[in-house]
Amino acid sequence: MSHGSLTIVGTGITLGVHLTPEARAAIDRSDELLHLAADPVGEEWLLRLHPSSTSLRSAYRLGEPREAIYERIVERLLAPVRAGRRVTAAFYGHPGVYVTPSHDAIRRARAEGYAAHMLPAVSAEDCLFADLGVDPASVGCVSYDATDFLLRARPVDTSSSLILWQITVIGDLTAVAEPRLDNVAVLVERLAEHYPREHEVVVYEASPYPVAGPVVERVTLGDLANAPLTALSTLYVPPATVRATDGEMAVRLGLSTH
Amino acid sequence: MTIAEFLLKLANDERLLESFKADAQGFLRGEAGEGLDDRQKELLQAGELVRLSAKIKAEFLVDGERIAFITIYGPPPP
Repeated sequence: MSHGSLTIVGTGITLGVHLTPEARAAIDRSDELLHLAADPVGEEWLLRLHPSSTSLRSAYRLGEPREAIYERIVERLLAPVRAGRRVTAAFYGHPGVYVTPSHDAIRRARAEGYAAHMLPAVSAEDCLFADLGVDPASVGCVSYDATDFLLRARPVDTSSSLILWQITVIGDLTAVAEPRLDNVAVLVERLAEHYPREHEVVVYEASPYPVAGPVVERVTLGDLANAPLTALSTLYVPPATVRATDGEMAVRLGLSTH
Repeated sequence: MTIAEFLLKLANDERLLESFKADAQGFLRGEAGEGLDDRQKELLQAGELVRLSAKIKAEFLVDGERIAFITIYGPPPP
């Protein structure tokens, strides 16, 4: 029996066209493909990509803590690896960006002595930079899961871009079928401690379909709770202030003489 | 043909996808649009993600079934 292995790839966001040749090759040479797509067309496409292709969607049970679901997914990935199979797991987006079970599975597979690695892919954040014309280098950019941002009172730098993920499941760590919007007001309240309520923010959703554009809803922070939010909405908060240059540092770096 | 089936065809054929992007209306009027009704064609041409997603989900749903969001990240609990 061959020694099992695990390769984790991302499908990117847009159906078909975001899959890298490297990821495609990994899928083709594997014995088994296990996958999670964000939407049913993506799932159908993945089911046809490999003769032994299985969706992990059945791991989700409404109302169950997501931690337990992710643990179930990890075990489903590792079972065939332990049986000596070469497994490729495909997650939508980038498999290492805002994905819990991919990192857990790799850590555990390696700890058990199996070869395991991850290939990079196009994340939703990559799509956001392209669609909104934002370069994270220009003023810096920080991103948080929205629940984590609130729960741990993460610091806010209003001179940098801020990206908040999973704003429709704030405060809910279980699997849900409908957006949880009741805590969006709590997020607005927290952001309003740092930004004016008139500050324009963007509700964004990258398009999974090559025939459709992204969702880009520009609203004021004060109106965010009334904005049309979709299951996969992300919040982009542009900078509201400009950070002054540190004159002393400029001199030390040789960028200024006084 | 469902919209999902149409999208799967495009996802597996770069040439078809490029033709669609170049001239969606002309493309759907031709052979590739056969099996799609006017309403489906209008949705595809409009390219509005929210409407398209809703239609696609409806194509897959059975008897008002509720499907979990496929979230794949969870922050550490308190």
